[in-house]
Parts: sequence; structure tokens; C-alpha cells
Amino acid sequence: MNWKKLPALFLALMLSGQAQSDPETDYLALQKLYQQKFPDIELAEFKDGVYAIDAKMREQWLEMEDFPAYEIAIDEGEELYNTPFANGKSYATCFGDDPGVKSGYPRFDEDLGKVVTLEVAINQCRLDNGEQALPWLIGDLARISSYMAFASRGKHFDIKIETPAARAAYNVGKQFYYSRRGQLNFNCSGCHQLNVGQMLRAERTSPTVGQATHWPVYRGKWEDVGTIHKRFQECNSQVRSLPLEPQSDVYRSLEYFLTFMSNGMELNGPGSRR
Amino acid sequence: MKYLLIICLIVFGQLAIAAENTAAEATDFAVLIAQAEEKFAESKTVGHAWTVTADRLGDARKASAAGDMKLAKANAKEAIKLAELSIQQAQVETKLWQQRVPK
Repeated sequence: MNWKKLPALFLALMLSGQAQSDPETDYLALQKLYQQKFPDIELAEFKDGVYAIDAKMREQWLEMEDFPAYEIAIDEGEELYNTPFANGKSYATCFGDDPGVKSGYPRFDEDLGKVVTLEVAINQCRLDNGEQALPWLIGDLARISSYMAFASRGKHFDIKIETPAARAAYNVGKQFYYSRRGQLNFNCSGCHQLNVGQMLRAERTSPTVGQATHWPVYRGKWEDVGTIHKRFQECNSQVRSLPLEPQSDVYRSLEYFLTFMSNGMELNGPGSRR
Repeated sequence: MKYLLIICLIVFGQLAIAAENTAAEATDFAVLIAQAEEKFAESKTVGHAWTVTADRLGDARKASAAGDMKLAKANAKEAIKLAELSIQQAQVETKLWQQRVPK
């Protein structure tokens, strides 16, 4: 047995069980689906999520945007971002002079063999400079991420899937999105594609396209800004599926898939949702 | 005196039977909870664990700690059933998910 070939063998096994359509084909098929379902809505408008579909909800949301609850998080995030580490270096050492780098995240790191989300990159920057990693879901990390998202506003997602390993990671996220899970036997696509725009209790379901543009998000029920992985966990719990760890490989892959489906769309984070 | 001795023997016998039953129930529960935990771990490995399975496992442990072995065993059995269903879901979904991808 040549142990050095194990990673390649593992990758081949993973790929053999999965649909091999390429990400670009998936992307175009999904755009076609929403154009058919909502012929009067421009795809670019889906950056506002469900508010592109529901005029009344949009009106309420626009009123919320007059004095957005996430504003404090942006200010606090900016202060945290610009506070030097104990070693005198700062986040700018890792990300450069422009903190608006969100349009390139998540990205696939070939050396690590993993998807790197913006939150992972922020914490990695801290660890590389002798600081403690921050909690993933809410708090200072979400605030720094909110500031970086704000600095990225107006840019467009440019997510790249260029190698077999990156494609394998994308496929893990894709499989997760289309698989039914939990005791309620729901899948993400059931709400956000098949029944998109329908009422689910008091909420209208949003389209997959545009779901990644506005994170982190301030949600009334969280009373704070939270990362997209907090929402993944919440969605999973709602269908009685045991949530995965935030920034686990599978959730990172899910974010990779989801963000690629918003490729080319304008970033408008942080956002506010009920 | 003779009657007192008979009554003592009966009471002692009943106590011995009850103790034996309790020990048997505890053994049954230990087997069931081990099975439930194994199945739950398997459902996690295949990425389809359910929150309700974790809930029933917790309920089983609580009931056992409170000495309600009947309820403890019922919850452990329920946890096994739920974990098996979630594993079945994982097996089915390995094939079905691809059909939902828009073409």
C-alpha cells in the first residue's frame, strides 16, 4: 500500500459518489430556475434576499435600514480591526491596507486542502500574531467581519473553484445543500429553491442566489450580529438535525457552495433581518 | 412465633426478588443505553444525527439517575429507533440528493 496516494484515493472516492456537473453549470441552472420563477425580478436584485420578492417586507426592511441595528457592530469592528496586536502588528499585516477583501472569500487553500472563510482568515491572523482565536458565532469576530463586509460593499463576489480539490470541497457543500436531514426531513433546497418565496410559518423563504451577499447579519432574535455559520446551525436545529461545529469542514464547504452561487453579485453586508 | 417466622421469610423473599429485578433492569438499561450511544455515534459519523436522538438519550440518563428504570429504558429504546432512522436517512440521501439539483 502506497500511503502517499491515500489523499488522492480519498478524493477520487468522494468524487465517484457525487454529481459531477461543474460549478459553472450549477450556477447557470440555478439562475435559470429563479428567472423562470420570478421573471419580473432582475437576478442582481436577489442580493437583498427575500426583500427582492416581497414588496411589503421590503418596505419594512428599508425602514429598518434607515437606522440599522448593525451600525454599532461596524464601529466596534473598525476599532477592533485597527487596534494593534501585542506584537505591534495588526489585521492590516494580514489583509493589506484595504479591509474590503470579503469578495474573495471563501477561498480554497491548496496547501491546507481546506476552504478558508473570512472568519477563519481573521482568526488565523490573530493566531499567527500570538493572539487568541475569537468565538465563531457572535461577538468580536462577527464585529470585525461586519466591518470588513461594510468595507467590501459595492464589490462583487469573485469566488474561484479551479482545482479538483477545490471542486471536491464545493461538491461536499452542494451535497449538504440538497440532502434532506433532521427528523423533519428537510433540505435547504426544498425551502430556498423548490418552495422559494412561500411562507414558512411567519417567514417567507429566500432564494439561494444572493444568500451569501449580506453576512454577517443582525437578527432581532439574536440581538447582535452573527456569522453565517450561526444561521447554518439555526437552520439545522429547526429541522431537528444536530448542528455541526461552526467552521467545520462541511459548513465551510457549504459556505463555499453557497457563495459561488452568488458569484458576481454585489456585496451589501452587514445586513439586518428579523 | 411460627407465624412470625413465616411472615419474615415471605418479606425477605419479596425483597430479594425486588433487588434481583432492580439489578436486572439496571443491566438491561446499561445494554440499551450503550446500544443507543453507539447508534447515535454512527449517525454523527454519517453526518445525519438528529437533535431528538440526543434529547431522548439525555432523558434516558435523567430517568436512570432518578431511579425510574422503566422510563429510562423506554427513552433509550426510542433513542435507538431515532438513530436508526437517521442512519437510514443518510443512506437514502446519498442517492437521492442529486435528483434535486436544478438542471
